[in-house]
Amino acid sequence: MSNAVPLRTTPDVPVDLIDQLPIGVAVIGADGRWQRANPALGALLGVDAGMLAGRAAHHDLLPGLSARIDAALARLPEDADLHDVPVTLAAGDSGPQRHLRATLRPLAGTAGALLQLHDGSAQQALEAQQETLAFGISHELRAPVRAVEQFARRLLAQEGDPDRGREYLKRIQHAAGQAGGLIDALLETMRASRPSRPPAAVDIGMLGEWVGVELQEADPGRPADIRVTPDLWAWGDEHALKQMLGKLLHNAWKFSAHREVIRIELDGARVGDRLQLEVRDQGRGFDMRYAERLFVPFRRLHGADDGAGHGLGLAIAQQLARAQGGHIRVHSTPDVGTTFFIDLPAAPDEDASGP
Amino acid sequence: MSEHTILLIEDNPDDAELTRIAFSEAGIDSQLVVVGDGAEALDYLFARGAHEARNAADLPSIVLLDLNLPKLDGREVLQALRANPATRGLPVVVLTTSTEPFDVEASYALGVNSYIRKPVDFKKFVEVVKQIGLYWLVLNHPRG
Repeated sequence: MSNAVPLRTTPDVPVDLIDQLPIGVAVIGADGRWQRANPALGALLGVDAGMLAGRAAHHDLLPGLSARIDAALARLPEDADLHDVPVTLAAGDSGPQRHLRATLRPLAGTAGALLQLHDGSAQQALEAQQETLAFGISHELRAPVRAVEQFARRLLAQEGDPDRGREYLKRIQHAAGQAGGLIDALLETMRASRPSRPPAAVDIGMLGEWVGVELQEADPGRPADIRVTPDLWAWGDEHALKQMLGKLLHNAWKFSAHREVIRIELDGARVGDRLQLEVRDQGRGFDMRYAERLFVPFRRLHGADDGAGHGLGLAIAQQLARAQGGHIRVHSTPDVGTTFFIDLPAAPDEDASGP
Repeated sequence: MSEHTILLIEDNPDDAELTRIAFSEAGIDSQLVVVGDGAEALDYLFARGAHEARNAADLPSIVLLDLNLPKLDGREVLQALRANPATRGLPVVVLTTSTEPFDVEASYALGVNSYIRKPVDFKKFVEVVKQIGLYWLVLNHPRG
């Protein structure tokens, strides 16, 4: 395998460099005894790294992997290669079940091997999320396709009832629109968790006003009162934060559509180095029993007649907030309204006055 | 009060309409009641909340249940129905789609009586209704 290139030890590299590495690293002798382990590795395994030297620590710390490590060590000096092997650590006193990934390579110039461990939880979460999305999207796209196919078939078969014909055509048009919206939302979802542009001071008040104008333009006849507190400065990617506010305000707008006047407030305060925002509406609200489903793709809390969309909007908003180093929480009361609490990095003081 | 009711628990208005059309074309004269989410389905069946005025003893002949629903999903609805003595024996037919990894064994374990694919295949529906012994209750069109 191409990744089996042995590492070279360089005598003039300070020994404590290995202690500075952000990934977990251990040097293991051909006899299976650990010669040294760095603090990052100790942190991953929940033990003191200094206590690991002098014994075959993988036998008790990595029980799921120890047989494979031993087998690889037995192939030294040529080939001790294990590449990116998933290891699951059982839940313990130090926390929940952990997903790590391990790589073992021969260490040139010594009789030993280098073990690298890194936290695979994020990758695992991403993979699980992608699987949910892939399944969800195929299931969700089936529905409009089924509607188009079935109503078109009935349109062809039915005789001389223009009203019914028009109704079927409307359903076909609507289903095609749904499929289109779903495809756009899927692309947005894929992009939402990507790293964004370099952070800068972002005028949240200005973005909120901007989104409010866009919402009013898209629904011009609807009386609405959107109040935005000025002078709220976040630290992040302006484009992503505007998109996030767009999702939250759009959500507030559509679930307030039954009110005579749509009322939405965006305000907040700086608390230490964080900016804490609130988006409040007086819309339908929901039962807090279902709150944990709110940010999960396709887990809607309302039916299509009550304004539910493609079921991705708030999942995208949460991903955007996380990608900016923040998060969104929610509180809601049925028929009273919903408040989203958005926690974001605040712009440093000297940037807060803006250009 | 209607004699025989079919309760359809379905959040997609197009699928609900297609089911209605399929039954109408097949001449099924049972009343089709449609509710759009799992929580409302339980409110309907247990006559509470918005359906408080209903007679709880007046249960539908058969329940058609979509698994992907807002609020409570289909599995949770099933569990609630099977946990209550009043609805434990209610015939439940699950509506599935070709893309769903539908686990037949797990659904039977949950108390599903049968399942059919969307859009409702009428022949399969009649078969299912026969299987669970509801033929004359649901399909009582007086054709002689």
